Amino acid sequence: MQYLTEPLQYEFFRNGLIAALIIGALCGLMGVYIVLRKMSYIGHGLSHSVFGGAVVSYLMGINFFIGAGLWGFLSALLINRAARKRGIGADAAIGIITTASFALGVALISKTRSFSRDFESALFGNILGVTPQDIMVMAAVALVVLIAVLVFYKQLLFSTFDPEIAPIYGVHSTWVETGFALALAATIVASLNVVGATLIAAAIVIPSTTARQLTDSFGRTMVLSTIIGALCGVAGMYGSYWFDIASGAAIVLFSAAVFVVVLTYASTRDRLKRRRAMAVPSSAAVVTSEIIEAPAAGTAD
Amino acid sequence: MAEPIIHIAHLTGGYGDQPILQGVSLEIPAGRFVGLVGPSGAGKTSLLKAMLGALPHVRGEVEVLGSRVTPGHPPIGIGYVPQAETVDWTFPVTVEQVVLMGRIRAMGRLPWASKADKQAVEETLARLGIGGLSQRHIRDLSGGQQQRVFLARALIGQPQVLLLDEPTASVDVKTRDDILHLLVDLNQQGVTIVMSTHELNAVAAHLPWVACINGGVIAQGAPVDVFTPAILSRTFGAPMRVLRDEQTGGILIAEGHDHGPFGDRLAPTQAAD
Repeated sequence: MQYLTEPLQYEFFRNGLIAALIIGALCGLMGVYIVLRKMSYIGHGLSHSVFGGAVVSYLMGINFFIGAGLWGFLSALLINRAARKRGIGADAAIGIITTASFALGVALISKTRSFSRDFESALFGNILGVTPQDIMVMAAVALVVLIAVLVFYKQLLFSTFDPEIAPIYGVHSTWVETGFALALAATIVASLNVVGATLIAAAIVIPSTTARQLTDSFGRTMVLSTIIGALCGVAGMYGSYWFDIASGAAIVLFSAAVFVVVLTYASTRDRLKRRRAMAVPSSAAVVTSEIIEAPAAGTAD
Repeated sequence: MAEPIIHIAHLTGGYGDQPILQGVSLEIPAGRFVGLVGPSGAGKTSLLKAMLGALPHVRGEVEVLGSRVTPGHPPIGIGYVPQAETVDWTFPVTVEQVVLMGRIRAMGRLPWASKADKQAVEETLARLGIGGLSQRHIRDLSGGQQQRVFLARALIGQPQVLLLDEPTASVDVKTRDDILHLLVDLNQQGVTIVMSTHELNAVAAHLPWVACINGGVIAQGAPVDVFTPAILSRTFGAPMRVLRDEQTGGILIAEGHDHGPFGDRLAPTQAAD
């Protein structure tokens, strides 16, 4: 019990724990759509893109969340648009737009050498530096995204499963895709302080891929992915405290360990199911041998 | 001829700079069951998409159920069954969730389905002979059952027009016949059906009307009138033979070549004296 309670005496840990819980759940929720849309690396790409936006917003004196969020939103929209062009796949669109944005951030940093702000936290995360104000922003983003996902659940499901057909049945795909890009950008910006740009893809992809091994239902995948993301965030924070390692890395490593355990369980379960299905009852074997022998008896006559 | 439910005039369109369809004009009256046949890349799917408002570049007139159809503005009252190969069969959805997608306009704001929604799914599945499968994952069904699930999605909204893109591809002969009989039943209940297919003999056996497509409409009419060697060769760009059954009056379409590329190897060998 002491393992659980001792770290809670520190305010920085309590803040970090709440942030990891919120962001883990949020990334888990959004991750289901991202993985099923086969855009797993958009999280990785957008976090780099947002880094460029963070530098620009700093130079222009704009609030980080607004500047970086807007930048991420525009990048997500551009990726969506470019990915639909013939000859440009989603992977290439992510690669071009996000690395160009990241390069812009790096170029501006190298050009303006009077930086007082440390951008390392945006790259690798600084969960222990999370303030109550940051938590408020994260909670607000998570709540808005959750409400949007619930309200547009059916539209998002249809446009993720069958993007070309959904508009035929009345899904306004332009609005759905724009809203999704906005939610994704908000998730990335809110998550930057927790896991950092370099590890955000894992926080998005691992919980949903893990949940996918446990169920074939879309709704249950979403619930499980959200819970797995939240639990991995909390467990990773404790791991970070007790093993004295970076919190973002601890969260991702714990998520990866859970994925391996679940994958092993799912593979064993599927193998057993197949073996049971393939098992031929002894009575069936007798019937088969009779059928095979029947023509031979006929030819003997 | 009854009032056309689908009216297409001088339609030119496609996806990029090169149009796939050029100057297509076609009128389909209410209650007709039409088969679109033609080689791969002839524009069958593009023509169906033009009727759905899903073809990005379109010039000309497309009207379905009295409404002008333009890209991004699909008509209401239409059901669509896509090619099975475009479906992600590993996606975590149950049969019920897929069928409910076809009822999205009628469903409420809540994320879950109401009792009435679930009942509508069960009734539609039962009508298509796959009742009791609603909680199964789509991957765990046979090819024929999978086709029926997407047919159920198209039918749950009670459409007046049903468009199907190769619904009998990749299924065995028995399943193909079952699907076609099902479509004939639907057509007799008043649903206008337009279906693209490569199954010429199935079209000849089951469908009352056929349109040969290759960039444009080469010919249309009853299969017995349209399926002639000249029209089929023009449509497919390859010699075709039409065999007629004297007793039934039915027709059978065969390749025009005496032998395929390995014909000489397949010919029976002469027994040595």
